[in-house]
Amino acid sequence: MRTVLEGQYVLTRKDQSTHYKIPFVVPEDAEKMYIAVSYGPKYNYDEEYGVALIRENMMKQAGEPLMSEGEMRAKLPLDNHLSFSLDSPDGPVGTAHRSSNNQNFTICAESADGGFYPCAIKKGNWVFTVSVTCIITDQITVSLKAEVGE
Amino acid sequence: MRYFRCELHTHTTLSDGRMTPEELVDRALECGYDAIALTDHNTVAGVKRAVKAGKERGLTVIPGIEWTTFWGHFTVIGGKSDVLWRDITPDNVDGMIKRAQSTGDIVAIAHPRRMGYPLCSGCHCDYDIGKLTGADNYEVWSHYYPNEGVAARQQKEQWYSLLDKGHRIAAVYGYDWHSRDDVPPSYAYTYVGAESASERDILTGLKRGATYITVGVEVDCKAVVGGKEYAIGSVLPEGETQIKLSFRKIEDYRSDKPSRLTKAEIRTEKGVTALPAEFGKQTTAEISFSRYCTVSVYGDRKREEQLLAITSAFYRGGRK
Repeated sequence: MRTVLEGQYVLTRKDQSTHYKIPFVVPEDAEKMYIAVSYGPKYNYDEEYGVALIRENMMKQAGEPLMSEGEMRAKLPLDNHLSFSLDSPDGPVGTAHRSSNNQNFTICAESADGGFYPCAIKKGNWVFTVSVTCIITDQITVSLKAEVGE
Repeated sequence: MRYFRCELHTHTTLSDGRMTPEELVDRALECGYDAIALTDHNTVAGVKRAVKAGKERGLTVIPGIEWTTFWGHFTVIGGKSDVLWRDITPDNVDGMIKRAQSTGDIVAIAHPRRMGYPLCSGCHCDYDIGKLTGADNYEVWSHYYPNEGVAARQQKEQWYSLLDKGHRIAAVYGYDWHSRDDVPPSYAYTYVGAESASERDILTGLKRGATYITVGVEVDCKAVVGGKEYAIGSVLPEGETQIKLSFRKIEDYRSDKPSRLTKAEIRTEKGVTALPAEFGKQTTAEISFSRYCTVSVYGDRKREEQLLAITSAFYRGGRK
């Protein structure tokens, strides 16, 4: 097994609604790619902040109350949400969109999981993209490792 | 032509759903759908499995995707578009919709008035609605309790305002189906008028705007001009126009069923006309309009009068 990407990346509120691209190189053709990605914190447990943020955005978006304070509190804690995409030298290999902050993927020519497409692991330039769907903490630390091998 | 029960907004474990593609197909068959579209978030990874399961088990599965962008969501069905969701921005969204449609795919604006950030970021449509008027369909209702609450009212009002301005955009419902829902809360169906429940015919029906959305009521709605009948979504010739309506209970609707109908309303650019409505009886009305005409059906459900069904429009005149 050969590690082709390993790092930690810090996202802040300024990264909301952006795509953070992480290029990496696969030095030679391989059979499979294994990706492990996690991020934290997942939740913001500050209830008063959460209710205030929901109320502010509810009025901005709807112009009128969509829910009571009790209903807002039932939605807490607010959580960060990131989506992950992969591009091979030949183009997009799909996107993983789900709530979990700890995900593992295996990709090869015959199969793939998590929202990715089967794809030959070719040598060349690849890109892992972190899409910042929602950030409600001051920062998020993303830990990422990609390995290739049998 | 007849109307087929469809669900055009579904998810699987290939994104954030809880059913595998095969489980989704099985559940859709149990729930009596004629066709579904698989619209996982930003991926078509589950499409092959769902289509295969549908072929084996007798359900039309239309390939699709939900563009889950930071500023709004769109279901795109037909499986031919090459638009990459990450490339869509508030500046180019209208062009991306056209590009998807140029392949034959159908684009729907999904749950545009649902609460977005920080609860469901991207779920609220923050795009300039003026850039979205080329979309084929608009989710007038979505998810649970589709005909209740502020978001449902605001979506209905926004859709009507598009019709008032001369746009032709059909009403659909999006279950936004993520889990098995053995005992579902209130939900709705989209019925699509088509020659058959094949993928091609359902897509054609959606493109024509031959749809209605409903909570427990089957609606038979036709326009008659010069002795000829026209389906919902049709552009009608000039002349005296009758709207013919009849209603039937959907016996296998799994949530609270309507107990009786109270009225139908015909809405045109000129205003609203109320008509009597009753299960099993036909209602006919002479109507005059120059731009569009839709029908809403009301009845008692959960011990209160509710809006139970909305048809897409009949049209007249040039398209804006």
